[in-house]
Amino acid sequence: MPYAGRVDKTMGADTVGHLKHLLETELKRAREENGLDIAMFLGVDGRIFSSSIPNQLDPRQYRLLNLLKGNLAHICSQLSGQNMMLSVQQFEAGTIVISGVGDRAFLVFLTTKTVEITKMQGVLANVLKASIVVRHLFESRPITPEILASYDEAVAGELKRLTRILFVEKFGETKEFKKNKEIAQYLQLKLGALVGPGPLQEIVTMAYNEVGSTAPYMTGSHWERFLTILVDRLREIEGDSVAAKAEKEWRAHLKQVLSSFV
Amino acid sequence: MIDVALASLIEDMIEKAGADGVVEFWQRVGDNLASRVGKEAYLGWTSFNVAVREGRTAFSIEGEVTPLTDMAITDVDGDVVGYLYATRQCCYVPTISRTRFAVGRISPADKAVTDEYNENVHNIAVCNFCVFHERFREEIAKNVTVSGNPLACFLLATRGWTGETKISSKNVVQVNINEDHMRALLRNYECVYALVLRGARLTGER
Repeated sequence: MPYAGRVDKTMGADTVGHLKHLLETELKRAREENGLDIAMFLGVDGRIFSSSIPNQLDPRQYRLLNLLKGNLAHICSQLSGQNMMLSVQQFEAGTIVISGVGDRAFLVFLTTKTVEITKMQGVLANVLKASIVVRHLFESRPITPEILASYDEAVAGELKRLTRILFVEKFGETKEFKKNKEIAQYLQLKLGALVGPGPLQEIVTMAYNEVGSTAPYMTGSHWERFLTILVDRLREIEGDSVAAKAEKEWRAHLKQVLSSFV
Repeated sequence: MIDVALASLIEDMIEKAGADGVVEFWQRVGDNLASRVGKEAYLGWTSFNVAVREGRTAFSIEGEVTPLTDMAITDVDGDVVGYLYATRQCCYVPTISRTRFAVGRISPADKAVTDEYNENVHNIAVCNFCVFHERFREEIAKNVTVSGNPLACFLLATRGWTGETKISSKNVVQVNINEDHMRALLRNYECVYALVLRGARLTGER
């Protein structure tokens, strides 16, 4: 999907890796924003799909985690057999919040902080929101404006924020970004060898500005126009024959990179 | 003749409605005129800038506009989301010159309206026509789309017929432009503004 000219740059999950990243990001955000210690996303068969656990656990957190592990079979049976939807359990070691994610999975949040059940309204609302978001991701549903419109504002806002986070953190790993980077480097290298470093910077910067985008977001048509501008400037500096030879070589390379599968 | 007569009209208006009334009147004129100019759509910045250079856009109504493509505005992701545009001569300078030669000094009403606008709306006006002008551009920007996105206009700097200059500290921050760059541009241009894609993330964290 071309990003040039798009005001709101966001990215949907195109790969399993992206989906996993979104899931982990949501768990981390839910844990950190609500001041909870551990967040886990599990299946009713006890498998952990994803988790957000600090690198170091203090003894109380460890104890609470063990308590959860001990109760896991019971929790799973409640979720699968009794359709448990939400559960808040308070122990001396801390509090466990369990929220169902569809029929076959659930979220668990642990906190060792002292919390009053009567004051957990906000946290529980956020846990329910996280459950809906995780369910959406778990079901691999796309994040389109039409689908977002079917959710309430908080859930839609969170899903939208996740697509933005995914863009910021993963756009640099996409195929189109890598292709664009390769083309930009190739053209800079080739033009630099012909005109020298000083004019190179001026020509390239002005060409990007004229095209109205920058290297990471360029599309095929942007590159065609960009190359035409470069060749025109090269013709002014080095003459027709150098420009004609360069254009033939560069356009062939551009076509090859843009049409390549990888 | 009609534009020279306008100078005395403003004096009359100020007597009847006060300086704040004239400011409101000019803003309504800007709104109304902009609403009568049709919608425009461009495939991308290249086609929009070509249209500006060729005087085909609504912005060209005010005379020759130069797209300063060396001064592109980028969003937090580094993508180009706008440019600076400038006019070498304000389209009202001929009116002001004719008034000064034909009638004499510019009416104090001009300064009263300008001061009122600068104090209460946006400290950027160098003559009373700036009031109309800023609103007109802001409104027509909403009717122009580039790559499917409507534009937003930010008036950045002005130079009046007396040589007085104004730089909008509020707007230069919004589009991430240094005030010194504006000062440099005011050597050659009388009015500088930015057109950016409406809703673009210009500042803040990614």
